[in-house]
Amino acid sequence: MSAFASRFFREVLFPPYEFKEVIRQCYAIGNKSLGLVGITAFIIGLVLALQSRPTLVEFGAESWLPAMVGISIIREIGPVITALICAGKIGSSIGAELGSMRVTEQIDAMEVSGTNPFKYIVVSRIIATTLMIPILVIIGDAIALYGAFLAVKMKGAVSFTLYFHQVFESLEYTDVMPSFIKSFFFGYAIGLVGCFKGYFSKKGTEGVGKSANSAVVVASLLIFIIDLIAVQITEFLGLI
Amino acid sequence: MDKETSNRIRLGMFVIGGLILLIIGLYLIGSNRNLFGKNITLYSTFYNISGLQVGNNVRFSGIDVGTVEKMEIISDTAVKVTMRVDEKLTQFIRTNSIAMIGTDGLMGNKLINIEPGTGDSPTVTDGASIPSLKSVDTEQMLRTLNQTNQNVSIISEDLRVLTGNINKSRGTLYTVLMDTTLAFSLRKTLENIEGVSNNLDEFTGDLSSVVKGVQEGKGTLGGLINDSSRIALSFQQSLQMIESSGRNLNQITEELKTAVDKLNSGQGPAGALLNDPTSAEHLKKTLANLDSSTANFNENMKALQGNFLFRKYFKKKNKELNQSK
Amino acid sequence: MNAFNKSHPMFDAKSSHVIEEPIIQIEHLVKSFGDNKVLTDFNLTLHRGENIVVLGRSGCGKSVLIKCIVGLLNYDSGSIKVYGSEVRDLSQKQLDELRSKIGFVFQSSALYDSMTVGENLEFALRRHGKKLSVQEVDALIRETLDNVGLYHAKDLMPSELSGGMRKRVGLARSLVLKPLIMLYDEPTTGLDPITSKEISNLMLQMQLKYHTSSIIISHDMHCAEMTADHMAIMIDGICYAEGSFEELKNSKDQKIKSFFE
Repeated sequence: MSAFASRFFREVLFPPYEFKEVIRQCYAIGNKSLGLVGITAFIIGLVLALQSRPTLVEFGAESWLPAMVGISIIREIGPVITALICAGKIGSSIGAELGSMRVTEQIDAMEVSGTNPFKYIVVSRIIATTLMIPILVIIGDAIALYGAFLAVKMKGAVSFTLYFHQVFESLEYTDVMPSFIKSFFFGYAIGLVGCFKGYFSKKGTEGVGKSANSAVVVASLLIFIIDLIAVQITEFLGLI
Repeated sequence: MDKETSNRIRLGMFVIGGLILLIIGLYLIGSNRNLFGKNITLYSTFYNISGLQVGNNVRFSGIDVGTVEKMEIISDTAVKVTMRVDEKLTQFIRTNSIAMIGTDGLMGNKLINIEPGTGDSPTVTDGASIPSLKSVDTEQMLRTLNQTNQNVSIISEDLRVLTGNINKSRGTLYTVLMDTTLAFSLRKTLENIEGVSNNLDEFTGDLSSVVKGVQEGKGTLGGLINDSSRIALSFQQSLQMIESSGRNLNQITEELKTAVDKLNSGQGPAGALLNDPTSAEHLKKTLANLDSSTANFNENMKALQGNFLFRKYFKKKNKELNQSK
Repeated sequence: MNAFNKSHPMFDAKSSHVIEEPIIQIEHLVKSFGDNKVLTDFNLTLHRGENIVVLGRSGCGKSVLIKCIVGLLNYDSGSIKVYGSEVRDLSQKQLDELRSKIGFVFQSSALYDSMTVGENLEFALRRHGKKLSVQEVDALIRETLDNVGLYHAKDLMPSELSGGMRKRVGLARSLVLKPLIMLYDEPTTGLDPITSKEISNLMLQMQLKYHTSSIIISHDMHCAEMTADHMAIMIDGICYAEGSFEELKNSKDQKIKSFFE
């Protein structure tokens, strides 16, 4: 896989660039996942606020709910949940798509047609996931915060302005930046694993299923590992 | 082609929407940290910054106006705090405005409160220093109250032992006390003292539980303190007063204690009267002496009867006595 | 059967256009996957205008042979010369140039699932670096699809096509570049006898129209009989026997005979 990853960096730097395909993949990966990410983020935000509230009320710290929810969503839950959902949706679809392209010789056909299939298929998809996951994370974060706002409002009177003021007052750049940066790595991992598993899919329909399945499993695991490394780095840099 | 174009437009909207959300978020965080407005720098030196951190808020009359930028120890008793404050506020902050370390609620973040100065001082400029006020340390206050409490309990214990001794000893003083109005009133006084000290005990107990309650944010006072730092400030002043009255109380009880200690240890006339068994003995002896001297007087009188000069007189006296019988 | 073929309008012309000029020369080709030696010592020559059918059992390495020719697979030793140049020694650019002269029809047609039939053809056209205007591209696509009788399916997705149609689109996609050499990987596999006859006919027609030389990998005797100028039988990684359809059919060799039963 590391050879595959380094081949990505080699190929991404040199022309020809497949801009059209990158944009097509960005649309397929970004826009098509927005609904799923939005619904998940909304529910997570809502549930998180509802679940945290009783504990905070017990301490008489109900007014801290927006701050707490905001920090947990921005720092951890938003990026990880979005990445996991995308690992499931995008990782499996890339794995299955490339797997079936390999099995039905589409990748060979592309090569015969004078196209570098690695560049056309793999590089464009990895670029697309790397760029789109962070944007999905941002939108997911925003929707999750809104979901949490509705939950807070359901239980007590809080205005939209006050809620978001409290949320952003509790946040620092050191909360936002590490999670924004790590979401690029999440995206890269999802694209890389999906493409790797699909590109080297075994012959036959079983191979396609296996590549889709292991793409999701490996990508999800990688997301947690990257998250672990990211938290170590931020801690090391003294940003927590 | 049409489909592809519309897909691209949607992708563009998606990306731009995401970026706008990111920028809004970053801007909101930044504006809370006063990163985008024009700022001036103010300095203040504190004895103790009680865990203040870089990035904590600076409030003027309860409004967030800036953040703590830097803290450095300049000597063993002074920490210099650099604050960035909104430039618009310079016309309200005067050079005699006072900076205090406070808390956002009783459990919240530390912050710096700047109290408005008086009108005759000039307003601050960039890089100005403003004086600081040592904040009331609730812990220290509780420590003082606790000591007061302990003293009161020692006093009442001593008083209990004392009155017990008086009751048990049934000495001269007891008799004196039992028999005369003075004794009664003395006992009454002692009882009163005991009552007072009990009350004092109860009061200090209540006070400490009140303070604890306040510290936990219970009750109206706690709520008020949580609500606004302005009230927190006046509360701090009342706490200061409570502390000073506590100190007075402490002093009073301290004096009372030494007085009673003296009483107990038998120093002074009253103490001797209460405690010294020899004086009671002495009193007894005096009475015995008085007794024996009257006996002696009796004897002397009898001897006088036998004397020839007075025999006739005494015989006549006896006769008269017998006749009258 | 023979009579039918002889009476076919194109059959008479079949052998006449073969010119004794070697286009592809395969000598002592060896290719193995790990311990599995697929090609041990394979020799074959394709002449201009010739249709060679390579017969062999499933999984004996026929597909490997033609994938080596277009450089999709690297061979271990031996040589493949296309127009006199060794395939293995070509740079990526030269290889792309060579590939633009070769039409490759895949066993599974290998149509790009995400594109319509028209886009599949357009992709192949655009990808070889030829500067073509939109009109030229449209004209070429129309012509090629008309040739395989599928212009009406231009805007359909591959998933909406039947097996026979897919084969024809696959053929059209290879032909749109007007190649000089056609390589067919099992063109009639998985089709019913009637459709497979149609495809075989189409292959012949296209060969006449575009003047191509072809190597056809197959184990379908009817297809071989219809299309072959020359036949090679691959057994155990070598070219076991060569000759015309008639010659091989009448062979006394037991192994060759088994193919014709």
